[in-house]
Amino acid sequence: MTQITEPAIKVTRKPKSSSGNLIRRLLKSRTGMLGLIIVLLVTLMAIFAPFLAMHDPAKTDIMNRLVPPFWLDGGNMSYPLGTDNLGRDVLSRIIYGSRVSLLVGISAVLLAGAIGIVMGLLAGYYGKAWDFLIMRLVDSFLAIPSILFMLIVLAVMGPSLSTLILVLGGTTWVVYARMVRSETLSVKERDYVQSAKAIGALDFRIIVKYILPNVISSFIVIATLNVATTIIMEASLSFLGLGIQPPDVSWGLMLSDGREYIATSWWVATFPGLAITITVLGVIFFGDWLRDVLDPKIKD
Amino acid sequence: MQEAVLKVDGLKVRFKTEDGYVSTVNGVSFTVHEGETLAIVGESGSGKSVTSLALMGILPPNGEVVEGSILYRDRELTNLSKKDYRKIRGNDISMIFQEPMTALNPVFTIGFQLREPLMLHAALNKQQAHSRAIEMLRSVGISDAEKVMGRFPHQLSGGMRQRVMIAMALSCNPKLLIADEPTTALDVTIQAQILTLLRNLKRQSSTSIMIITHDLGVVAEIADRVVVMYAGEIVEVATVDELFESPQHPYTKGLLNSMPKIHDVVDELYSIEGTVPSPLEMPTGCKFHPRCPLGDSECAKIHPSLESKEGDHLARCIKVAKKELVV
Amino acid sequence: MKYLLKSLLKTIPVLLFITLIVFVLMRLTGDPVSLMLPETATQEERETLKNSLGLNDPLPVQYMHFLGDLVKGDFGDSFRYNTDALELVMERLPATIELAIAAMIVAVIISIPLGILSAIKRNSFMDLFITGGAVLGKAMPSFWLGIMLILLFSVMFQLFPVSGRGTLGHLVLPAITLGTGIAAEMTRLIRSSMLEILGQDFIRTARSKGLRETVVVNQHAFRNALIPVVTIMALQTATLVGGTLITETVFAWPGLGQLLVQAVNLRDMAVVQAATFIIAIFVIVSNLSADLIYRLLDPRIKYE
Repeated sequence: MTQITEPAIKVTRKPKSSSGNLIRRLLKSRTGMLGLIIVLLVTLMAIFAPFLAMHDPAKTDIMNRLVPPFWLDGGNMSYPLGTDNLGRDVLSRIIYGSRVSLLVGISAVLLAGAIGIVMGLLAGYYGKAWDFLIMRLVDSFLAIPSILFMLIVLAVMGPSLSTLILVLGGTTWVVYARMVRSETLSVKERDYVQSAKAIGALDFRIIVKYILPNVISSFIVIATLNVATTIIMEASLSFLGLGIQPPDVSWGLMLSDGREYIATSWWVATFPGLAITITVLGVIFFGDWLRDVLDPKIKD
Repeated sequence: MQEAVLKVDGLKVRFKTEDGYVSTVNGVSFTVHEGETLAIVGESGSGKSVTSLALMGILPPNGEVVEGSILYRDRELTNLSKKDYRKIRGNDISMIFQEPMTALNPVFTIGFQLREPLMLHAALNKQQAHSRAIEMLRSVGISDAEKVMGRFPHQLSGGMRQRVMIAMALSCNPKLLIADEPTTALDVTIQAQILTLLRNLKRQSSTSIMIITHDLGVVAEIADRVVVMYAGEIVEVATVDELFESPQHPYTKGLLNSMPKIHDVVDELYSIEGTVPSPLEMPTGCKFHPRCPLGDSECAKIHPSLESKEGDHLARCIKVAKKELVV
Repeated sequence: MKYLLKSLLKTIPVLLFITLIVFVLMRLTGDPVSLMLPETATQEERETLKNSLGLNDPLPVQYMHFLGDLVKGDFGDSFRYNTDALELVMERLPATIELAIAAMIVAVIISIPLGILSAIKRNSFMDLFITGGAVLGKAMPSFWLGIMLILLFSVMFQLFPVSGRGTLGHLVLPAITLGTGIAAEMTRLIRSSMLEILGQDFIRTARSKGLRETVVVNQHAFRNALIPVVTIMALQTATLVGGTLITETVFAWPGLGQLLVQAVNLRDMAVVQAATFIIAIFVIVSNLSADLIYRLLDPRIKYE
């Protein structure tokens, strides 16, 4: 008996076009485009901060405390977004703050990715005891709120920029480890890998040639979206006083200063928060677009 | 001829897709008479399932009936309000589906799912619905009905689930039962049991059955009349005897040839080459001509109409009309 | 029951791991002896104290002692408050639980109707609006949202108090602040879960029975969609608890989170340890209970 199963109504779609017209597909996605523009703008802002900022972000000026933004009574174009409680220019601080956000966001994600890939490979490729130990470690990290872990480490080591990156990277690697592990497990069993092994290919060669190319697109997408989470994490820790320390500038730190003055000077807390939100939105939009285009099999 | 229960005329269904509108059913007309079993036969993609969903008024959100009429007794269904349609659905016309594994809701008991239509359409209270549901389960050959009522779908076998589906569909004494590939997902012995069940039902009640299948074996077992569909169109209509004895359309012949015969020992079954064309790349003229052994340049130009080849035996082919018609 | 026991056993390595981290970190914090003795203490005095504290034992032995103290609930005293650290933590716990529950209620009230609505009105303007809102909710740092809510509702309209705990009014803004982020995540989850379920065969069956669309969606579909949502909600407990740290700081909510943040800033390690363990246990317990609810919701699991 011929077995033809009746499918649901499905219309064959044109095959997905490959890399050639990435740009065209970016233009087609309005949010993806918006995300890219925001990410580019923030990056440029971070790179050219010294040229863009009108004031030294750390310079206090008691004479010009809590000046409102230029469109309000008492505001002026010298401080377009006003000044904070120490008379520092809010706009200049936001411009410099983008440096910390991007630096911490990107380097923590790269660190997490590096740890995660190594752990994932160890667990997936060598299996057995490695797998057991690493996966229990992963479970433990997933069971406790990552911010809790960060707090303990920061309590012990004291807050600083490098600690912050280390801590953020050291807690978020589990996502990559899980992804790389499951991908490794499936690739390892494929015939061509098995035969490469049979003819005596080195583990290193198999990993570089067969396994890493399979995880790269998932990695890019997860990493991009994690930059967004990491930026928020950095801001949160700095807000709690456990991240960036003055005189360095961070959006989270600015918010914690502004919290005190919310009743009288709303702009001090409002604009840095807006900066965080817009930046994170941009990264999320861009990451979502990457996910659609690269189309990795990511399980949420 | 008996009174018509359902009369479909010029039904056209289209779907909105990323690449624009796509018609999957194009001007389909047929009638189901009282007490009759009509089979709609075709490969996947022929539009037979879409037709049945359109009749039930449960097309997916991107699908719509654009033309034609669906007459249930003397009521036009295509312009019925949602509320009135609901009163017919599951009550006057009900449906069973191909996949008994997935057609029942996994988180509700069989009893809950059986009581639902009874409480809704027959206005029974919970106790009445319960006893009626048990009755229905017994009538479809489930002996430990009380026990089954408290079970969840995953605790039943595929055959049992399909019986439950049939019991559910029949619980409000529908005038028409639409069965979409009711046996396809089941193994052979269970298939036979389900077909017997449907045949018995046919004998005992006046319910008409519209069975949708790709399996001519099922057609031979149960149908009175057959409609053959290809690429969203009807290509042949005949009584079951005529169809098996003197198929007219080359597509029907192809389908019949691809059926295994019990006593033949063949290495390979005949199959029609190619697949049903996608609605996006419909051939011109006769839609079957690229796969047809008789297809030629003329077939690529002329879109044949469905015409009588012998009495009520209709087919949609210019070749047949010219050469092979012997009365 | 057997299952529950199994899950409980599985949490043991997690708890051990957490104790190990805390233990290692504590040993890294420097010499507790020099903190406890005056600068003028002699080398001999230091050695005696070290011996009596067990700091000269091999590390594994020290770890076992450390575990022993934990089991007894002895985390030491807070040097800031001069009281037992665990007592201090337990005192603050109810406030945090109150906030967490209120936030969860906010999240559920927002996300269930919006998630369902955006799924059934897929690709409509409404859907765009809701999914857009969910992304925004995810992108907004909760402490900024909290401050903006204070600005709007406490400073401008003077509807709710700026900070502290006491009346129901005190609870409103912190609960919204903490609930919004979770609502954003849940809305997205409910939407995708509903979309998947609405495409299932049994939904078609339910429609073919002539059921009203609201019954199909709210009963047949939602009951199924809830299963994956509850599972992922379990993981949200960690986020929720993490979020209380920040929200409590913004609103000066006298809970565990605020206590912990203060303790970290002051290096009050006894309190940090006690709070960490209580939070870890809280998260593990709620994960376990979510697992049990999951089992109640999905009849397919029970009998397998």
